[in-house]
Amino acid sequence: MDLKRSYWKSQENIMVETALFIAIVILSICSVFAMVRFIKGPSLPDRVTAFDLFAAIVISIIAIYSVISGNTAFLDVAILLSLITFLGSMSFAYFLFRNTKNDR
Amino acid sequence: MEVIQELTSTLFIIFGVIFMMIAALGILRLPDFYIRMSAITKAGTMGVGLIVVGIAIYFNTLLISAKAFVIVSFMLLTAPVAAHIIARAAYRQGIPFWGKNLIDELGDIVKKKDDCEKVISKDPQSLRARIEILDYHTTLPPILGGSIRKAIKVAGEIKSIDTAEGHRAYALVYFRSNQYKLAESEYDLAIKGSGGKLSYRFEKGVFYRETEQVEKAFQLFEEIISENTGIKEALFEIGKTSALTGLNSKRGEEALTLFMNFHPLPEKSELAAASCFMGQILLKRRDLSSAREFFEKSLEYLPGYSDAAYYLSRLRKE
Repeated sequence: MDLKRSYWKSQENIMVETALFIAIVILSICSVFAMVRFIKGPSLPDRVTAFDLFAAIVISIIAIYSVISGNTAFLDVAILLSLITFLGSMSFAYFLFRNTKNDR
Repeated sequence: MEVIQELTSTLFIIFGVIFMMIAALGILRLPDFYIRMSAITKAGTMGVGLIVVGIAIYFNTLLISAKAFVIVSFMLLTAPVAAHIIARAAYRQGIPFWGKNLIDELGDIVKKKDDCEKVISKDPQSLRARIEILDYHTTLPPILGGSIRKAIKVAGEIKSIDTAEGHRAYALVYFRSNQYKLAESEYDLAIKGSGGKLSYRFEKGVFYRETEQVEKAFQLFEEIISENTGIKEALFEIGKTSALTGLNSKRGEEALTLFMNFHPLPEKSELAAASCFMGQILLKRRDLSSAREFFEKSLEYLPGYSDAAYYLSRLRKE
């Protein structure tokens, strides 16, 4: 790993550093919003989409964190997470399909 | 150089975060499930995409760019699919709309079908309600509740009430499920059983036209004319068939002229359609000026007739 590129080692760009921190803070607030929708519902599809958004926010946070820490291996986690989210929402959709009568 | 790179990447990330914020606000504040869903699929995907692109710019190596590309393309592929499937499941589950939207076509159709079922439970001999249900089952795709098996069952019920109508119902089912040979024989049986009822014969002609057996369609309509019954409708159908298929255009023109001068005069909407078809025939022959005349005439008969307006605008472009 090239340590010069690692963010903590460079002293000059405090601006970029603060911008990234603010970005993470805002994303955390966004994830709180998504969680509020997750708790409020009122239906299962609402919760599934709220969880979708939550996962997207987590992917973004991981991606930004990989810049801050300078460790690019975190991006692999983001790839995996986006895969798993898709599978999760698909399986929830099929669960909904099977749980409803075929009249509509 | 490095400063510019870091600044652009930060800019991308900040824009991405703004989009994520819009998505989160949307999911918190928007009024119903379907609108919330559209907010998060569009804004959420855009947000993640921008952030990941910003990171690719920041690191600026091939490996990271490839990873970023994988993440972005995967989001772009899966987000619409997942949103579509969840929305469909939600609609089927009957998640309510927020009440201010105007169009719910599938809901209207389903409601109509439910009404028809109520009518049948009150009046078990009702043919019209059964035909509506048959329509429902044959026109909707299976995923939305259409079912050829149920349609055949309904057709059987219709047949037990009225044999000729039943044959027609079977013909309709076979027609819509692309079994044209069976449909043709059922139409024949229906016409024979009803003693040559005109509306069945017209339906058979339309069936021939839709299944590209144009020769047979022309033959059938000419037969009806030669028997001196329903001349007006048959003339119109000949003209329409000729206009839509581009075959036999001389006879089509003749028939439409006869139709437009028919006594008693046809209704205005019929006249508008007839002149529009006439215009189409002339357009195929590249007789542009008279085609334009007919389209204008059609619009005169029925202002705002969309087909004629479409052809007229196309003519103006040429």
